[in-house]
Amino acid sequence: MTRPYRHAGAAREGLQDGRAGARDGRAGARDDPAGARDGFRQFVLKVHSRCNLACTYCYIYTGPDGSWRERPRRVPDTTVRQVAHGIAEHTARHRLARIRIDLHGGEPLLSGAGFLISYADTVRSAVRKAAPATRVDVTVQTNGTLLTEAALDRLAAAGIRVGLSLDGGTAALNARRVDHAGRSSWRAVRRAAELLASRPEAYAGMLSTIDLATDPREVYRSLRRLGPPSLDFLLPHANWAGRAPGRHRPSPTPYADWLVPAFELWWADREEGRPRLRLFSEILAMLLGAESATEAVGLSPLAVVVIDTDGTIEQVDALKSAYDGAPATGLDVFRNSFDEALRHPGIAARRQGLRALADECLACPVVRVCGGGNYAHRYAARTGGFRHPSVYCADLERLIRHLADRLATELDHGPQEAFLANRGTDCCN
Amino acid sequence: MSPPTRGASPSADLPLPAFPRPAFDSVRHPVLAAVLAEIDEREASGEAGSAYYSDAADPR
Repeated sequence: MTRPYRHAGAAREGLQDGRAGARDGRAGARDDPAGARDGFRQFVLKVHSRCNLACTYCYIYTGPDGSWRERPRRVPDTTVRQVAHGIAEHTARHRLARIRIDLHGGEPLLSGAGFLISYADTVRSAVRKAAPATRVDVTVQTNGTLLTEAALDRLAAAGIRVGLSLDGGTAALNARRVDHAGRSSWRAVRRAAELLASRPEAYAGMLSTIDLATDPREVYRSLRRLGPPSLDFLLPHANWAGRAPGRHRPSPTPYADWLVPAFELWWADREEGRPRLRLFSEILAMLLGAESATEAVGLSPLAVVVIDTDGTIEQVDALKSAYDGAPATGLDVFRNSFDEALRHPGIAARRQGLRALADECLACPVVRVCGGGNYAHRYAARTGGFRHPSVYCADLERLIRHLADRLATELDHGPQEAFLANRGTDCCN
Repeated sequence: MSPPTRGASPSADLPLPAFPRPAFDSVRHPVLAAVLAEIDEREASGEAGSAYYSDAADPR
């Protein structure tokens, strides 16, 4: 077995957040300690550590973290069985009603549909024995290039839903998604999108990384035409150590400038087949008093853990955009339990709600919706830690306020300022 | 590039409104109704309040 990848970065991340101490005094009435919701609920299982594409913006293979080079290409059978055992044990201990299994990579279909089904079945079988009442939802996130009709038939029959990654519904909008020879992946991905649209029961949805060079209206309309049930626009993984792509632009909120027109199209979309748009839906939900269900925004405790192809237990991949070894925990499924991973300082820091945030965030009126944004986007090399606002702070605030204005209008409150003039300024926090 | 300081925008200190949550079948706007229905379903299932991975599509 390959020795699990270890790096001092795991300890550095934990210390940076741990040293700051508790912030209960300024946390306000709504402080959400991790202990209120025990257990991981989502297990991201790396099935294959390599990818057949070389997207120009990929943070895994071109970012600062090089751990992928040390991982076995495909997860060995002994690791599959140990992962299944660990998940079953954790699920039973925490009496979880439902868990998610996400088959991921690299590109998971490099292992073949049969292997994905076998991995999912091994986990399901182990969970069924240990926690018979637990529902297990399985998805695979793919670039689509290897998704054939036969593979989709098998995955669908096995109850595995497919998530597709692409950046728009035309070749031009996917110019950055190329193979290792620089060739466009579009023809194969379009075929996959059409296949999935014909099998809605097997279609989880699409993920699209924002490219400021594109027209958001064209992106939304072209993706809409491909018929996904669900869609999300992802901010490129970036932090204060290097510029987020496009942040040199004159506008202080280039990503909000992109997202707002996309939101307006979605908000006005009354036609059948409108996809759920995760980022916008989550912000609206939180404005209406609900809790978030995504790590991108909000204060909900992180529910996810990653298991790499050698059984290494890691934090989410997005941290690879921060520094080499950032997601490392020093734990693996052969020697450690998932409960030990829950106690890892880096993971615990993401289950503390307001207590993990920077002073600037705690003083911000939109903190309970923004939640500091994606954890990986807060990293600053000058401190080596994550207790900072997001590099997308201004974009998130603008987007949240725009959605709040739309909501105020729709609920007959009028624009924010008018609403507050009527209610006074003691309605919040 | 250093982390930002607050106060750059005119609305920097404006609190967010606290919206009352209407029933999903009482609103006319279809997108808003869908969001409200989803909130109800999530809270009824006990699945509320956990943050899931953003680099994976949600199962439906």
